[in-house]
Amino acid sequence: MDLYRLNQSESPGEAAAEAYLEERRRLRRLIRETSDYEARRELNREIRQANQAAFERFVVEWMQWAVEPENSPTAKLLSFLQNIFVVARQKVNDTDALVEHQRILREGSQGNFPDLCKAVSRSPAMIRYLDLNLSTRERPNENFARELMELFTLGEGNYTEADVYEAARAFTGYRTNARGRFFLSSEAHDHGPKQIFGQTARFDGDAVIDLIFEQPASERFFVREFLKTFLSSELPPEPYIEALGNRWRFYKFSIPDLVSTVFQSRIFFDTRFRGTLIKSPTAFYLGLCQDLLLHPPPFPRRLLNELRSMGQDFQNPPNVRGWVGGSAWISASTVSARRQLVDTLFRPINEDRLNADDKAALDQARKQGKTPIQVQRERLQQIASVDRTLLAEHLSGYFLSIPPSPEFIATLESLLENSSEQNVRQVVRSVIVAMLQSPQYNLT
Amino acid sequence: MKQPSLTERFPMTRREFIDRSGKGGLGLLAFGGFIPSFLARAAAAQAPIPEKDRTILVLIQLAGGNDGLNTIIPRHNDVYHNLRPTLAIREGLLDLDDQLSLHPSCNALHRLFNDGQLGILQNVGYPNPNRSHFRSSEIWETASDSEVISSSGWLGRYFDNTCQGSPAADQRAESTSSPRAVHVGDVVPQALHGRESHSVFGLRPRGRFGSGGNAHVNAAYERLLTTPSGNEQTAFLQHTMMNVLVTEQRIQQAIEKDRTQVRYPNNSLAQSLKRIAALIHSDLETRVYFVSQGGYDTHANQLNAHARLLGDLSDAMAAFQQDLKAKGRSDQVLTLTFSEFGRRSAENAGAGTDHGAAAPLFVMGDAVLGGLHGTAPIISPDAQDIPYTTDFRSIYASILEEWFAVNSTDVLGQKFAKIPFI
Repeated sequence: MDLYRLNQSESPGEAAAEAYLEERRRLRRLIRETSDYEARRELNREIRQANQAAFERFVVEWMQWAVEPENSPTAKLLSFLQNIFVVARQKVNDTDALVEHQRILREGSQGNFPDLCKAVSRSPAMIRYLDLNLSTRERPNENFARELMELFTLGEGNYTEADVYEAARAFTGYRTNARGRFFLSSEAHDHGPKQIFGQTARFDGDAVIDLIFEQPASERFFVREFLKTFLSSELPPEPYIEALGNRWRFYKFSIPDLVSTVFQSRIFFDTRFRGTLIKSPTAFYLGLCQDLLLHPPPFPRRLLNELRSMGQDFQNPPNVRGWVGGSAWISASTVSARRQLVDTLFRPINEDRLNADDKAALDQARKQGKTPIQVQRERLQQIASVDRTLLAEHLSGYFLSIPPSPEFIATLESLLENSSEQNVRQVVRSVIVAMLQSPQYNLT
Repeated sequence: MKQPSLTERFPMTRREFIDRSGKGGLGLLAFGGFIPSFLARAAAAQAPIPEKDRTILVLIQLAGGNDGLNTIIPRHNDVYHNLRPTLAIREGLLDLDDQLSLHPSCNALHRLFNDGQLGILQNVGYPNPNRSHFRSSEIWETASDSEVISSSGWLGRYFDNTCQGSPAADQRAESTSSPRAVHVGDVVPQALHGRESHSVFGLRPRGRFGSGGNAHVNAAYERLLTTPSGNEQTAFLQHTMMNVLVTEQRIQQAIEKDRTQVRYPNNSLAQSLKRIAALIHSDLETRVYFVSQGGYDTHANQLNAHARLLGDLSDAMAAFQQDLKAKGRSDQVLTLTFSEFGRRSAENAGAGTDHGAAAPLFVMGDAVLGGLHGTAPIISPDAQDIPYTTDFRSIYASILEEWFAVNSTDVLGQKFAKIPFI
């Protein structure tokens, strides 16, 4: 499996972010030129709207990109990295920064982990999310330095409070310019000597990251996170983690090397490892589209709302720890939202009732070949024409990642038995919908 | 460094991985399965709590940051009038004492105040106030110190606590398909997130809810949920989903069955509270309800918008209280409002107010000691934040100890002085 085939021509959200920046530059110029309070307020409102519009394009483009089977390994790796280097829309509140953060992770995922950490420390979204922009020589803000050690690289217990404080000094002066890109404010930066992990020198931010990767814990922390996400929530014993970490250090913390080492075991494809992880809302959504041969709807508000209802607000994890995942995805309201989504995908869209924006979006999606977005009658007809005695096996084989119990198949068979020539399509539809809502389909 | 001989220690292929795990090396077969504790526990049926002891908390979030000074108005305070040339409210005031008045659109709340069913907790906040909506809401919902990030909510930890103390409580909720908490909206409020997972049900303010679907789909879905799966993880999901289904049906029925005579206003807060009253009156064991009213972020042209919001709030709360009385439940329910912050003492150039700090809260119910609690804010002419005089966690501590009869230190991590409003 080639995890690193990146299609550079298609970068979700980048064009939208570019357009937003352009518009913001124009509006800010107008703001500078006027002293009228009302006019300024109106212009600021327009900036916020442009930001929102770009964000809406971002979610649509991201979903449309991630649903393509050739992109899905990259999308999975990106989602994983985004759940390490967490930033949240609510605080960052800038579509360009969010898109740029994603670009940094995507590019960085092809190199070494320490380099990725350095790039992330310069990410405009991160600078804002963990308050680096507020961190000055006089008052270093520890937020980033702490999470760098605790959540990104080492894990709790592998550094002292003094290390955090001194590291925070090294990251002072990280700022973004008017174009939203990184620069170091020499004025705000603390150039003095710092003592970190027992060493004293005039460390800067990058030097701190290099020091971190001299710590033994650095070779195991990320490996553990990686296995927890891609293998199983329960980790193999320490000696295996140590061996893997050791090897990883030898290969200079290369992310592609770690990925291929773990995935060479082809553990992904083994049925004995399937059906143990609860799909994330995003994975659930994309999986439904892939299995039903659909494209995600080009309607940003609907997408955002569906993802939020299932408990995974787009680009907006609840806190710096990111999504907890696993059984935490499952609650009364998220279960209902998952069922609702399946139901929606099987309902025809009443195009007359779409608003103008959505209508235009649908027309454009048609032109780009990014339809259908709902299950078509013909497709159900096709499935319904499968020999009825084989249909239960056929459906569960096609949709479920683990072979279900014989009782499950028997239940499907008995549900399908009720169909007659007249209502076969209706019955098949109901059975498929119920199956996609079932616990079995929620597992991967 | 010599390259470690990886193949000796780390299985390189899937087959090897699994073979070794089968021989006890990795124990992979146990991977990924978490044991649903409630399945493991014995399902000992428990006598229900006597109704009279079943206390209920309803939280109303005023999202956006409610302007405290124009809610409880210091009508004789010159500084207030000077700092707010256009926003100070001078007419139609509803007096609370010789200094303070309620906003003119809060007639209904004023009546409750005079009847001793409404308490006003003045000047509530926390040290080192944060002006971010997101962060300050998080602080209120997690009851953390301003500098500490906590992921669990104060009510979530209360749930954690009660199930550790008495597994029977969760067991009973489980067996009666009662969620621990019900909130209105799609997203579970952070206040309800525990360290452990609890059943929390999301309701909509209007219309039908639940998973929709037609009867055929629902019948098929139910059949699949009750089919043995032979897999632990699937069993966990089956159990949870079945629970949701049953809960949905019960909640839908409770709402449909409700025949209240009370006329609720048509705003969505009032409609949400109407549903909550119906659920409280049903046989659900749920003890925490959460609903949010948005729009309080009044940076510009605040006067009318704020009046409408407070009017909606006042009418909705009064209708709710009246309904609870009619249902004979008003002694069981405590209703508390909160907002992430108050607003600045001085108005801004746009006839609005910017993010501030301390603000008053309302608390309503038969069990409430009506009147003003705490001290009135001191407004300084330099137009900065109003310093708080009551820590919001003192209010939580009072509710936890006096209303829920649990040890507040276990939930809040610190001891806070209680306020005698219950």
